[in-house]
Amino acid sequence: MLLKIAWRNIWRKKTRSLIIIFAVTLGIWAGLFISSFMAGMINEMMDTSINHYFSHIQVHNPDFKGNNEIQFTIKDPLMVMNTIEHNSGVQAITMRTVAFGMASSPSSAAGVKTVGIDPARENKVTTFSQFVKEGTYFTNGKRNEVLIGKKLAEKLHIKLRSKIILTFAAPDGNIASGAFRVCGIYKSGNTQIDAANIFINRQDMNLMLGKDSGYHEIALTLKDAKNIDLVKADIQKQFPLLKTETWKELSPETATLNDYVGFVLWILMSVMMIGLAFAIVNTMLMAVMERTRELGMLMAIGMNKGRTFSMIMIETISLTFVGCPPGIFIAWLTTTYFGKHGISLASWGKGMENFGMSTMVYPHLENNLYFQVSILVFITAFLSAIYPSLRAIRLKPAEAVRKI
Amino acid sequence: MNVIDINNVSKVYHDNAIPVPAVTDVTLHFTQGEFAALVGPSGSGKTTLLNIIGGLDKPSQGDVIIAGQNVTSLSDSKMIDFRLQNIGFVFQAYNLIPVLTAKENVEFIMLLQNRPKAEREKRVAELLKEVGLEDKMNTRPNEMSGGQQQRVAVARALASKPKFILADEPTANLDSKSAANLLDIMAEMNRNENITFIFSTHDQRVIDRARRVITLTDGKVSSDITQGN
Repeated sequence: MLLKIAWRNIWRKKTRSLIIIFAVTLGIWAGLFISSFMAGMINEMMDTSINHYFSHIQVHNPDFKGNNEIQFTIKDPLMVMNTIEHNSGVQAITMRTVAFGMASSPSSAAGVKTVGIDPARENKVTTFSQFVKEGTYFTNGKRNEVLIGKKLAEKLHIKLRSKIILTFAAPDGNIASGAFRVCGIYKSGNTQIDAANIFINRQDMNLMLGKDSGYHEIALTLKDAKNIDLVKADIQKQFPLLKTETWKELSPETATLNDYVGFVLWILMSVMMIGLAFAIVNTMLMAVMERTRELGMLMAIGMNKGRTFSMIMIETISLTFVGCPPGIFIAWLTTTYFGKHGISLASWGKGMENFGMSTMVYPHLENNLYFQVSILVFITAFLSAIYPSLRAIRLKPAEAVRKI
Repeated sequence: MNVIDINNVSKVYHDNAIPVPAVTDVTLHFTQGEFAALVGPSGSGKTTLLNIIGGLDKPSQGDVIIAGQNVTSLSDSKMIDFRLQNIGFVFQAYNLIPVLTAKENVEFIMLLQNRPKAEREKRVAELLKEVGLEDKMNTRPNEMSGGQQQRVAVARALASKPKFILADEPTANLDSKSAANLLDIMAEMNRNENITFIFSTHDQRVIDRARRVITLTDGKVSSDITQGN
């Protein structure tokens, strides 16, 4: 009967109840959608970091990490790669040769990181080939091709098929240089990567250096990213003399942003819930004040304080919960739609790319977040209900029934 | 045994630090089946006395014994339960829960008493028939007249099988026909079920129907007359 009374009481003042229900719906939708939007942004950033270059895990000679000098290669790289490849958690693996030097065009020059890759293997580990906007990824059999970032191309004032000179220090201490033709211009969505990294075929790099340049970097992707720490620990155990790092260690700013955004989202949701709580408390206090005589009558005829308290609590929680499913449904709908079609932030494009963020955001929400938000709403409703319920049971029946 | 014994009851309010004596040294006894009216001008203390009898207020001095139980010493929560089991109330207005039908309002008190469903349904039907509202079972209070609402309130008060019913100005908002109708029903309940009714009233129609009229003046009993009604 208390449930019946509470439910019917909600609809005594339809307009007022609908306003609160609308506020709850809007609050939940806004909180979830903002969360999905920010999660989508961070996912894009992480994807850019992982899929474009870093991969899930990288392995280096520890001296190379400290000095970036070409002579610090990985010892027995093929054995290392084959061993790691047999780890059940590994999806794909590649090896790279890395040299820091200069890229020069007729009109300009820039410091670059030259990465010698095996194009076929690299394509299984990163999605770089998908970001070639002009030209091709690499052409089979053609020599001295270079993939260059859009930002760097602009800086060097070059275009597709232009020639550049690459120069870097060889392992013997001499300067190695070679002419390369731009076969493709890529745009990764991260201007920092675009400005600093160029890719050539590793065989061309060996020819430049006059010998096998060795490998400086092993990069691998995992079947399930959740196993990243386990796989890292395995590799570390097998090769304790090598430096094994996850993408979080390679790109700490992205990892920090991911954690930070998660924390900020909870703060945001909590603030929204606090706002909602005030609205609910206000509405229910009005309801209790308006029904002073009725509540006094109920207590006079024998409804005890426990039941009175429960009635107001049920009414408050029910009022809040009516708005919860529509809010969650609309959030799911909008997240699913925009998760598929994306939200274009092209107006802020340049600024975002500087931070490694894509201009196209695909909102995303983990399913458990809908459940967590429902719990949060319940807690908000429960806590909001306490004060009005206490006010109700503090009424003195003798005074309440005669209140004007 | 008396149903109600009021022994040297006084009530002083201390609002704004000025003591206001509402009831002074009242001693009264009520037996089963009485049809009594507390009368007096505004401020005479009749509502205060009624509230003290009903356990809605505690006296500053004296005690109230109901069916052998000293209710003055009961805690608030025990008093609520005592009222539920022993006392019926009919107020001047706002008697009914607006969102419940007549049937649900009458049934509500029996739900509070945890009576079984079959008993509740039977008693609801009986009582609404007795008050002449069997066709208004599924009607909400806002769809009934004032007189009909008060009749449902009487049915609700009787549903809990109380020792007595306290009615605070029950006819105040009613026209003469509705008031007469209501009084007829209460008088019939009083006769048939031997339920004690105590009214707090200004209404001469009620005073005329009461068999005992207790007049209060300035918080004291100034007369206590048994009428041959």
